[in-house]
Amino acid sequence: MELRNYGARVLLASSLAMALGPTAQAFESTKVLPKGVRNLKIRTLYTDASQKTSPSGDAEPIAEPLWKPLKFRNVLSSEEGLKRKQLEALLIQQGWDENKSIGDFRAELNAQINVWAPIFAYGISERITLALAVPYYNASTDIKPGFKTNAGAEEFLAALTDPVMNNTKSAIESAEKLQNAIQRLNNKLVDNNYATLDKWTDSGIGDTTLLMKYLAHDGDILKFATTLGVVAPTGKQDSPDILTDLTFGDGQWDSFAQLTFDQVIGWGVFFNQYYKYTYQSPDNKPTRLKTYEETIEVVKEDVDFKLGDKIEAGLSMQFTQESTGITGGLGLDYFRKYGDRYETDDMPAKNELQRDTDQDALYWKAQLGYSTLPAFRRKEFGVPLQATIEYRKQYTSRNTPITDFTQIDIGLFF
Amino acid sequence: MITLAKHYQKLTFMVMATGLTFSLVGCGKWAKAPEQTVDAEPVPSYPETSEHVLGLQGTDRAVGFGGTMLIFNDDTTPELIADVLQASLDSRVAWAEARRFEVESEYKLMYTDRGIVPSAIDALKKDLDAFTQVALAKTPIPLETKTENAIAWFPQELDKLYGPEDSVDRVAAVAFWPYYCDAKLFELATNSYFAAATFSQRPTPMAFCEGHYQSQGYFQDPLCADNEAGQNYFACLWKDGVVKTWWFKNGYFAESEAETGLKEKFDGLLSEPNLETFRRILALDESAMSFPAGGLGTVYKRKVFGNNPAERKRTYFSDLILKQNADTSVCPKILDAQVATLCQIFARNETQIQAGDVFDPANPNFPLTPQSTVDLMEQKTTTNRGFFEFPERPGSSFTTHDILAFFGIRDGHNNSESDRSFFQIVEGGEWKLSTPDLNDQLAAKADDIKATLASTVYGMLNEQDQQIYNEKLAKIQKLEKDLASAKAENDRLQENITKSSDDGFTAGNTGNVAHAFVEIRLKVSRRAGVARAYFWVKDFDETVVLACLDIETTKMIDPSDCKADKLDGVDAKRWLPAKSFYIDPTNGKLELELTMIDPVAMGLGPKARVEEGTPDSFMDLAEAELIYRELYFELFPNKLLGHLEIMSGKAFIRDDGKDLYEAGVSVWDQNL
Repeated sequence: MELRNYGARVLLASSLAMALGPTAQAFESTKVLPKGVRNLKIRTLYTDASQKTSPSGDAEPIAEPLWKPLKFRNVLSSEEGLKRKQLEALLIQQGWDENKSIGDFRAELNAQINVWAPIFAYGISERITLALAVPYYNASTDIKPGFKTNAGAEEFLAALTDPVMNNTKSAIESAEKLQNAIQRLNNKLVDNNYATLDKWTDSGIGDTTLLMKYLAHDGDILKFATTLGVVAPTGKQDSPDILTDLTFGDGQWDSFAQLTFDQVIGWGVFFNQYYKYTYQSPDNKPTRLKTYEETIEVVKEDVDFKLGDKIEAGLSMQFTQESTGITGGLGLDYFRKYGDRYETDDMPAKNELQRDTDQDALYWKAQLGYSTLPAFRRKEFGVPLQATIEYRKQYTSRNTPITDFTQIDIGLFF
Repeated sequence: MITLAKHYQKLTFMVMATGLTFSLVGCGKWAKAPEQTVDAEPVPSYPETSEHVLGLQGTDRAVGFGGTMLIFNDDTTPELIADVLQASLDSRVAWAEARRFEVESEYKLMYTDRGIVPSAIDALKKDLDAFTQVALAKTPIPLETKTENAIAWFPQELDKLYGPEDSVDRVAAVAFWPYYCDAKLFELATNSYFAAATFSQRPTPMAFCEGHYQSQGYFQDPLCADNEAGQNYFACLWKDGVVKTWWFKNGYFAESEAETGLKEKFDGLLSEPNLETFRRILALDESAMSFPAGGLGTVYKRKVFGNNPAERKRTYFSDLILKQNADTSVCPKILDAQVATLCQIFARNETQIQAGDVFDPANPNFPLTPQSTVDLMEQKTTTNRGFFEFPERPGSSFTTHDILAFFGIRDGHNNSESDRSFFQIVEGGEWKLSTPDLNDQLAAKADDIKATLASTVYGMLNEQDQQIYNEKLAKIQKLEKDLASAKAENDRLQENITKSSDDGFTAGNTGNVAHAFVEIRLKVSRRAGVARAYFWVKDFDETVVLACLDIETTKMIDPSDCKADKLDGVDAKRWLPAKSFYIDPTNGKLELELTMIDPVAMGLGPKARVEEGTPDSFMDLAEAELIYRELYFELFPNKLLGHLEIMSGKAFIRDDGKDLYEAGVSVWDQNL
C-alpha cells in the first residue's frame, strides 16, 4: 500500500513572497526629489506566516491544502496487476467505496521572510523622479507532516484479521505501511522527482522595479502625482519540484501605473490617497499539472500562464513635525488580485492550478519615523537622513496569507 | 556644546537604524513548524495457534484438510474475484457453523439414527406402551366391547359430520366407506408380516370397518374362527375376505374373466397347496420363489430380497396387488407359476381420475385401486383429494381423515394403531406391534385424537396414572422435539454447506476468473516429534506428496528418512518428496514446495470445464505449463467459531523461483 496524493502544493507561498516585495505599498505621498538630488533608501522587511484565509475569508493553516484524507483510491493507485484487482475485490466484497477514507494527513507549515531592498531614487527634474529597487530575499519554511488513521483503517484491518478472512499477513503489512506513512510519502515524492517534506531555506534577489514618478500638480492644498513603472523578472521562481518553497519573483514582466493625491490639512498634516493598477504579462514556465485528487504523480510541462492583474489602493493621514523631524501616519490599504489563468488541455489540472488564486485583502498600517531633513536644512544635522518603522496588519482577506509585517526604511539624501 | 549634541544625534540615529535593520534581516532564517504526530492503528498479531495442529503443541494428532485452490487469471475482473472471495468465505462459515453445532450438540453421539436420543425415545415409548397397558388393565375394556365401540364409531362420526338426517353428502360418505374397508382388507392381506404371523383371533384389517365386514358376511368361514393356540389367518382373509371385496366381485374378474379365465387361475391360487405357496410368497419366504440361475437371476433376486432380511423390499408384492402396477421387469422373471399368476392378475393400469371428478355413489365403476383408496381416506397424499373428502369436524382441531390416518396408517408394512389395539398376536415373527411413528403434523394432533377415541378404544386411565402418563409422554415429546430440532438444524447447516459449495464452484467457473479450480487435500500430522504434510488432489490419492519436519529444530527431514505414518491414514501407491517444508513455530505458517514431476498423475492435468449442469473442478493450463515447475504453498492457520481448524493463503506456480501464476487457497478440517 502506497501513500499518494499527499495533497495540494503549498503555492500560497508565492503570493506570500510577492506581497512582501519592495513594491508593497508603504505610506505614499506625492513627494518627489528636487532636481539632482539622489536618495538611497534601505528597506528592511520581516514577516512570518502560518495561516492563510480561505475563499470564504476564514483563517486556516497555510498547510491546509496538505490536510488530505488517505482513501482506498489512493491505496489502489499504488498497486498494480493482480494485487490491485484483489484489493478492489476486497472493497467490493466488503461493500466499501473507493472514496472511503482510512486516515488523514495533516501538516503544519511556518514561513519566515526577510527582505532587504535598496531603493535608489534620482530627481531628474523638479517634478520627475526615477527610482530603481532590487530586493534581496532571505526566506525559510518548515513543515511538519502528521498522519492519523481513522475508523476506516480499523475496519480495514479488522476485516483482514477476521478469522473467516484469515489474512493477518496482509493486515500486518498494511498496518506497518500506515505507521510509516510519512516516510512512504517522502519516498513517493522522491520517486516522482520532488524534494522531501523538510526545512527549506534560500536567499537571492527578487524582481527588479523601475519607476518614474511625476508631480503633476503641486498646489498649496492639493498635490497630484502619477507613477509609471515596470517589474523585471529578475527574481528566482519557486521550483515545481519543491512543495514548500517560496518564490522571489513571479516570472514575467509586470507594468503598473499609479495615481497619488495629497491634500494638505495644515500643521504638517496631510491626507494621502493612491490608486495603482498592475498588469502582469503572460508567460510560460515549467508547471506540475497537479489535480485536486493527485498532486504527486503528475507530469511537469511548460505551461502558458497569465497571473491575475492587481489593484491596490490606500488612504492615510500623515504628518511631519518640522521642529523635531518626527514623522508618522495611520492608514488603510486595499489589495486585490484577479484569478490566474493557465493554458492547458488538462482540465482537472487547469482547474486546480487556477483554484483559489483570486485574492483580496484589507490592511491597516501605522508608521513612525524620524527625519533629519529639517535639522539638515537648519544646519543642525550634517547628514540628510530619514528613518521610519512601519507596521501593517491584515484586517480581512480571501485566499491570502495572513502576513502582518514590520518594515523599516532608512534613507540617505545626497 | 551644540557640536556635541549634533554628534550625539548622528550617532544615536545611526546606531538605532543599523540595529533595527540587521535585527530584521536576521529574523527569517529560523522558520519552525510545530511537531506533528503519526497516530496509526497498531500492527495486528497473528492468531493464537496453540490449539491448531500447526501450533505444533499438545498431544499427537492429525487433521485432514480439504478445500480448493483457484489459480487466478491475471486478466480477470475485481468483480469476479469478489464473487469468488465471498463464496469462499461463505463456505468457510457454513462449514464452521456445522462443525460448531456438531461439536457443541454432540450430534453424532446424541442425534444420529443410533444415537442416544433416538434410542431413548424408543425406550421411553416402549416404557409408555407397557405402562399404558398395565394402567389400562386396571380398568380394562374387553376386546368385545372395544370391537362394538369401533363398529359404532363410523355411524357416530357420520352423525357428528352430517347430522342425523340423510343428506347427499352423507349418502356419499356411507357409499364410499365400503371401498375403504375393502381396501384395508387388501392392505392387511398383502402385508408380509401378517402372512407370517399367528393370532389367537382373526385380526381385523381396520377395527372401524368390522361393521362393514359383518354386514357383508366376510370372515364367516371356519378358517376365521378363534384359535387359542394361534394360527395364521392368511387363508381366512383371502378366501373369505379379499374374494368378497368389490374389486373381485366387480373389478378385476368382472372385466377379465371371460377373456382370460383369470378367475379360475386365481381360484387355483387359493387352493392348497398353492395357497400356502402364495402365503409364503407374500411373506417374502425366499424358498418359495425360484429365480433364473446366476446372472440376471441374481439381480432379480437381490431386487426383491436384498442382501439381508432388513433390506427386503416388503412392498414389492403388496404394491403389485394394491397398486396394480406390477414391476414387469422382475415379476415375470420369477419362475414360479404362482408368481406368474399374480403378475397376470394384478398387472394392470389404474384408471386415472380427471381433475374435477367427484365420487358418484350411483356410478358402478369405482376408478381407484385399493392403495389409492386407502391413501385418499388416510390422506397420505394429496392426489385424488377432490374425489372424496369428509367435511370439517365441528369444534374439532382435527378431521375425520386425521382419525383414520392416526388409527389406520400402516407405514410400509408396520402395524397401525388399530392393529396395535386389536390384534391378538401369538407369534409375530419379525412383527413387533408398537406405537406407529406419525408425521409431525399428525403427531401434533395425536393426543387430541387419542382423547376422542379413549372411551371407544383405549379405556380411561385413573387420575394418578393419567398424570404419570402425561409426564412420560411430555418427556418423549420433549425428546422428539429436541431430536426434530437438532435434525432440522443439522439439515439446514448441511444444506448451507452444499449451497455454499455449489456457489463456490459456480464462482470459480465464471468467466475468466481462473485458469484452474482444483479440489485439494492437505493432511498435517504431528507424531513423536515429527510433523508430516501430505498433499494430494481429490480423487488422485494414489499419488501423494509427503514432507517431514523435525518439530524441535523446525528443519525439514531428508526425504529419504521421511516415511508416512500409518496412524495418519494416508495410503498412497506413489510417494513424491516435497522440495521444502517448514512450519513457523511463532505463527503456524506452513510453507510447502513441491515439484510437479507428473502433473497428470497428481491430478493437476488438463481437465475440461463442465459446459452444462453442475460446475466442477477444472484445469485449463496445459501439462507443459506445469511439468517440472514448482508449486509453493504459503498457508496460515486459524480456528473458526472455536472448532473448525482452517488454513488459507496463497500458492504460486514457479519456474526457477519466478512466480508464473498465483492461486488462492482455502482448506479446512473435513475429517479426512
